[in-house]
Amino acid sequence: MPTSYTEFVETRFGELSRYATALTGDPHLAQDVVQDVLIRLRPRWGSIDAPGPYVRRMITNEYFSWRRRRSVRDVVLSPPDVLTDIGPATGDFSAQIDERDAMMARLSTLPRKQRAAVVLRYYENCDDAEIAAVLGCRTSTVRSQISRALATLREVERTGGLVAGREGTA
Amino acid sequence: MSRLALDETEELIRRGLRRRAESAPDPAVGIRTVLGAAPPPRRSRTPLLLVAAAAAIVLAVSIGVIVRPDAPAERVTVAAPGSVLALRPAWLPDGFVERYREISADGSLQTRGWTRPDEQGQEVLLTLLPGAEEMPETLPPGGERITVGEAPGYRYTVGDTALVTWTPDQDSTVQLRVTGVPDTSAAARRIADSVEPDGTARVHADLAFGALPGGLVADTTAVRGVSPADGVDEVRAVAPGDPGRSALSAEVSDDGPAGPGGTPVRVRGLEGTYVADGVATRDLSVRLPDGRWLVLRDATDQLTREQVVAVAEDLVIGEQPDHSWLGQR
Repeated sequence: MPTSYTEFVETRFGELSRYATALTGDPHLAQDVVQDVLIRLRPRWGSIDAPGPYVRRMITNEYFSWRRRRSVRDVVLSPPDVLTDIGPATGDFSAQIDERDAMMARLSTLPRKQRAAVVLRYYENCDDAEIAAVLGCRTSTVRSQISRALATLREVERTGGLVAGREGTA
Repeated sequence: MSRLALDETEELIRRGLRRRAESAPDPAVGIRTVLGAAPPPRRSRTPLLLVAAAAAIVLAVSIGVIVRPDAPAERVTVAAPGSVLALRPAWLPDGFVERYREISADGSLQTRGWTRPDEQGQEVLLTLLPGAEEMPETLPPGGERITVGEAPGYRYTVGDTALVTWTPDQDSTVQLRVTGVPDTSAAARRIADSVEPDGTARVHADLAFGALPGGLVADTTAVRGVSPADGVDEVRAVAPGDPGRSALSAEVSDDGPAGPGGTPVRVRGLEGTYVADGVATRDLSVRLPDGRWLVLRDATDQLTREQVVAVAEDLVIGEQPDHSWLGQR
């Protein structure tokens, strides 16, 4: 484990930024989130036993609550959720679309907590207990969130288009 | 329509997320920014200016009540129309109009935002924070030490965004972020130099929490919109120990819930809808008699539907929010 705040930032920033990017789908927002979280972490550094999981939780919480920290442009001019602005995928996708991109488009239609659970499971390889710790919920809730997310993500139109998951209210 | 195999789905998710994560920016810039940043300002209950103190007093009555888990709610009578904002920029580039105001329950954190309606991506955010931020010993590339008035500060420019931070006194820090404006750095400096006490602008959402469950505490009030005709009023509550995250919010606007679904629920004598699986929230929405919509968002993952309904029942919703400043200079 890094012994100093500086070492932690230098060695873990890239990893945290990639996690935040996977979570938000927006590299620039991800960088802002990670920077903000790490700056706020500094005064608490000495009291944190396991900074890795702690910071991951901070990043995830920031993702859930970024609405209040977004730019005034987003706050004022856009609907309340940047990711949901991507909108549900519809039948406009061609059959040639990269399947990974198509899957990410479907992922973007999921409610945020489902999305976070999926990213923690399939990008961070967290188990139910670790995901529950990050999301602040029970493991049964984690299983339910991932199950519902997968049910949505598995739905496809064989015509080549995608069927969006039900859009969460924002 | 059919379903992908589960293992095929999981593999596509893994590959897609890895690819998405690879688009993360070069960490070098972020590392320099974090390590070059000053420590966050010390939390202080002492507001910067007298007007901020006034804001705290007024807001304490306008934002609602604090409810302890073991104590019944005590409602405070609204005594003044809104909370006073402490600062304003005397100069802004042409075309900017105000579209966002936010203030914390104690008045110590205030944010105002301006954009240009005819130019996407141009914005100015002015934030007053409690506590004096210590100036960093070293600045990252793109940073320079400046004085704003006689206050020490620094300016930092990244791409089309310029950040100016200064400490007018030992109890407060002011942060200015300017984005997308031509010659951003110079514009930010000019705006910063023009910042002056306000004391007249207010935040009045005419909306306040009543009783709050689970130890939640009323936190901020915000008003946003493009024009007086489409103003949105919002109050937020946070959980003790997690002050950076909005745990519960209530919003009144002309916009109804974003999506379909949910189950009917009786609230405030009206037929509403409760959606148990919103965007990381459980959402309750109901159309008010005056045609506006009330939307409650519960992000606690702990409140029951009945508790959310009770919060909605206990909200104090007035009919005279102040949206007159929206879209004005």
